[in-house]
Amino acid sequence: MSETTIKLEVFRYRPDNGGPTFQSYDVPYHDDWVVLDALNYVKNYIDGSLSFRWSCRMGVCGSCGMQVNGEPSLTCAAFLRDHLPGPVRVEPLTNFPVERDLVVDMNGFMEKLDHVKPYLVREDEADDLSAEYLQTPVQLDRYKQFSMCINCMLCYAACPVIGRVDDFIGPAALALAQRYNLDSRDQGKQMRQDVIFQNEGIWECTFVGECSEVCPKHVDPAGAIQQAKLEGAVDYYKRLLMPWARRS
Amino acid sequence: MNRPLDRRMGWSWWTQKGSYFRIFLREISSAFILAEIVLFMLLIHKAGQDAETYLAFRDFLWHPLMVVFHLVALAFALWHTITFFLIAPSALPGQVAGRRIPAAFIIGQQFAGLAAVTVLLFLWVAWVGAT
Repeated sequence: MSETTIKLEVFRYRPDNGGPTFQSYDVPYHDDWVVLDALNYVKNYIDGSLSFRWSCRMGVCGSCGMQVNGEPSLTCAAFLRDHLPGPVRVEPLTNFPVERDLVVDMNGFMEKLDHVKPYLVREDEADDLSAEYLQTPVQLDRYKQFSMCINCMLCYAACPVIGRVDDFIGPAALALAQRYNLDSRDQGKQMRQDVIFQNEGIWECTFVGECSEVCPKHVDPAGAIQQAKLEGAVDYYKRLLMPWARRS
Repeated sequence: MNRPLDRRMGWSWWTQKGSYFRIFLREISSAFILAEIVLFMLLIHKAGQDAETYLAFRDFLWHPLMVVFHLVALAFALWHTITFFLIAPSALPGQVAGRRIPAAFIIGQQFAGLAAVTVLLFLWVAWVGAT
């Protein structure tokens, strides 16, 4: 009995070998296979030159983000059965420079992430490294949703502003800035505000909202950015009307 | 030599997906709302002049093509209002006084407020017309 197959159309780009093309592969179809399984089948049995990133295979590491039929997706969570009868078109994440095949250059994203200091900042950190900073469930609930980000960069691939404005800090980094700003244990809000309140920060966002739609962890970066805008506006008017008041 | 390939979205990003196009419509609605505001300001300006000038401008606003324009502007205004109301919950803080506010409550309050203001305006216009 012949095995059922499904066609993959995979983006190929080898910088030393001409421009980008699409290459078709017929791979076995299984109900429980995801796009990443199909790519690994290609890599292992058809064409070992195909390059792509992956690691955990369980939607945690955020490495295997690609465009699947035009939608930014984690390929480890994109089932072939949802794309029947095929073909399934697999491309590298939009808005990122492509290094080779499905591998994108993440350096710009990592630099933006670094700018917003996505970690707990303590003014007294040097004094006592063993200190515990307790938190109530209500305090945890304020930022928990935004802490689920796995840096998969799908939101950057879905954001049209990223495609037009190189310096825009972008959804994931701004959501993480808001995550730490809302954390009762953090004392670095002022440092982050200087970055996120600049033009290339929250104000560049036009609330397209597609970042939240594609987020595999339901982080809602668009919501985080709008909330930061609201805080920024309130903070501005506070300083304007009550210059003697301490900045929040 | 390693040459990374540029694959950023172009200016035509809004034509690439239905969801992008709907956002585009929301943003472009501002142009129609601006045009209606300008027409309204002009109407007020004409009202301060002689009756003939005012009536000529009012007739212009009632021209069939202008009526079509007003209807299109109304559709855009409603589209902007509804889509804005629907996304408002995610733009507001998740908690108020330590409690989560359900999105449906926030959306419902906005529509209720819009309905209340609309009814009040109609009543006011009807009252002015009757007196």
